Amino acid sequence: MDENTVNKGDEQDSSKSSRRNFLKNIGLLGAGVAAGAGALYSGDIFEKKKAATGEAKVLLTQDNKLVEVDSLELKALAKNPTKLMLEKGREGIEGRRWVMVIDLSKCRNARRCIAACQEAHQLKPGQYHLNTLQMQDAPDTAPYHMPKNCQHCDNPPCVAVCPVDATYKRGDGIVLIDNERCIGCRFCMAACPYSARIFQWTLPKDAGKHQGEAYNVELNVPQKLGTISKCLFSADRCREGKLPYCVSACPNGVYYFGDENEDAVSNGTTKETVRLSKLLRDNGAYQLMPELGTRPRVYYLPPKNRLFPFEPATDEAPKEG
Amino acid sequence: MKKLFYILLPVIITTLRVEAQNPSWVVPDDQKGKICLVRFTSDMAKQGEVIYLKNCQSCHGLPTKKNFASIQPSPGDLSENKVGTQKDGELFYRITTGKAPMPEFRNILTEDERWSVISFLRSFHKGYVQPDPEKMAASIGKRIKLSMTYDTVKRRILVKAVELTSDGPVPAKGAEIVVFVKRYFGNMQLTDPKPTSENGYAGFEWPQDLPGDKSGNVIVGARVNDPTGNMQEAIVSDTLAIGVPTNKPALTDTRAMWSTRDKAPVWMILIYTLAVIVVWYFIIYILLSVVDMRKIKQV
Repeated sequence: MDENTVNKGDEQDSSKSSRRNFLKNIGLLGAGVAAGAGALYSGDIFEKKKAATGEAKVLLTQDNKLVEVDSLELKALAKNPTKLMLEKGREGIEGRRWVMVIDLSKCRNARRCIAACQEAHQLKPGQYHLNTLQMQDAPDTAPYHMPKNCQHCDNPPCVAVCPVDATYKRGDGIVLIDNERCIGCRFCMAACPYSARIFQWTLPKDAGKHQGEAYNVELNVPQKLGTISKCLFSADRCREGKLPYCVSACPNGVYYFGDENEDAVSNGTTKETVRLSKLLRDNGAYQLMPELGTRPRVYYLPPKNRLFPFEPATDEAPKEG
Repeated sequence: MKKLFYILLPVIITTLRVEAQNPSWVVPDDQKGKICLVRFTSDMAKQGEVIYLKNCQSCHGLPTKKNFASIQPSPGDLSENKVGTQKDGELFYRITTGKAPMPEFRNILTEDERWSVISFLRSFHKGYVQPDPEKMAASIGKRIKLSMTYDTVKRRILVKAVELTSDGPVPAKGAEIVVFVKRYFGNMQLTDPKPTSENGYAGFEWPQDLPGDKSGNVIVGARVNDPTGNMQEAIVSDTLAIGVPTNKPALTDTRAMWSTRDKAPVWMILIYTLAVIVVWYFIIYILLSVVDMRKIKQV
């Protein structure tokens, strides 16, 4: 019995000591692992620091934030850039509702807006996203020039008739066309009461030069043969916080562009920002064909007290002067 | 004598009429003396040429070419003696403030850009000698410091201007203050500029209907408006929760005929679904009837 107890005690002792040893060993091992990991980690950080010695690059993220990234850490995305831009172009800029105001009293048909637009969207001289029309409402009334672009309707008939969801409206009000989806059926051209859309019947301008470039849905470039193209309210410029191409090219202060939610529009020439509601109220603003219920996002100010005498356009190319 | 008077009368009247149609563009005396603080160089003139071609050429044409636009009042060729004899300050004022139909370039071109345009024009003016910039430099540069608060009772923005002199800060009297609100494409001026009072304060009514962001935040700023350049540029801006909270839904959020499948009108989804069910019901009914007929035939 005693022996047994002693034996048991011995056994207990030995087991105790072995547990202690075991715990001790574990502790040592743990410390060793921690130290080793620490050394490896700091070494890794050091290596990373050493490696990232390329120049710092400032990049614009998809949600419009500027970030600084080391050029060596830049990786090209495996994703197709066209697809990326298509996804981005489907979403409007949050919380915005773009609106354009065209002051007809200031237009003297300088056609700088058209030139800037055609340059940006790779259009041939005869293709217009925006055109200045010669207007005369009645035989006895004074003629005037009227710039006319896509009205970016809030109830767009063109979008309703598109059978393949190629043309669509975004949350910020811009109506865009996805030329990768467009099948060229031209239903939208027939539906649009403002004749805002053009069709690429022939090879687009500089088609060879732009071949293989990533397609940018917010710019409609490169233009595609057999598809539709139209005014985009310069969606790419809006994303950057810049006024559209036509608006900033006008030398006579015809265009205002801004955000209806902010109740402010900026003039492209003077860069002056004014209250939208006041501008529309004080100047008797109107919309084109409101009776159709298309609810356009473009307003016109009547050609009252015109600053320039009416000069009919000639067949010549617009004057450089 | 009387005869001569009658002959001359129409001539006088027409001359006067022409004068009346072309009221002269008077530049305030205190603006005339403003000069550029750097020397005009050929590099500066080259920069000015680029700016000129972009902003001025559409009306004024190319200097010495007399190809300006035919509008009233005539923009004229800027290389002419009429322009060449004007002081730098006069040209600067005219470019800065504009006069319809000439746009004001205050917000379009920076001061430096306006001076480089003048430098470009001066290269066409024979006999022009630039006033010595160094002599003028000493007298320029009042330093103004602005601070801004919102008065919740009177609902107005209160701007305080302090002049930093060598004897310490003193209230700046008569400094013209502009208050602006930041918008997506630029700063929107709230009201006309107001001069500060004896104590250096200027109050601006806050429009109660101006939209802010989701929580009503608006970025408000104030600056000293000083075309003479006698005060160094001072700007203060702050985010204040005094706008109308605006959180309008995206235009694609409502159900509409033109929208995508998920956002189609409910009645349209219902009718379409019902139509599909009815058509398939009849197809299945006919198929089952055919099976029944075969069974009856076999029996």
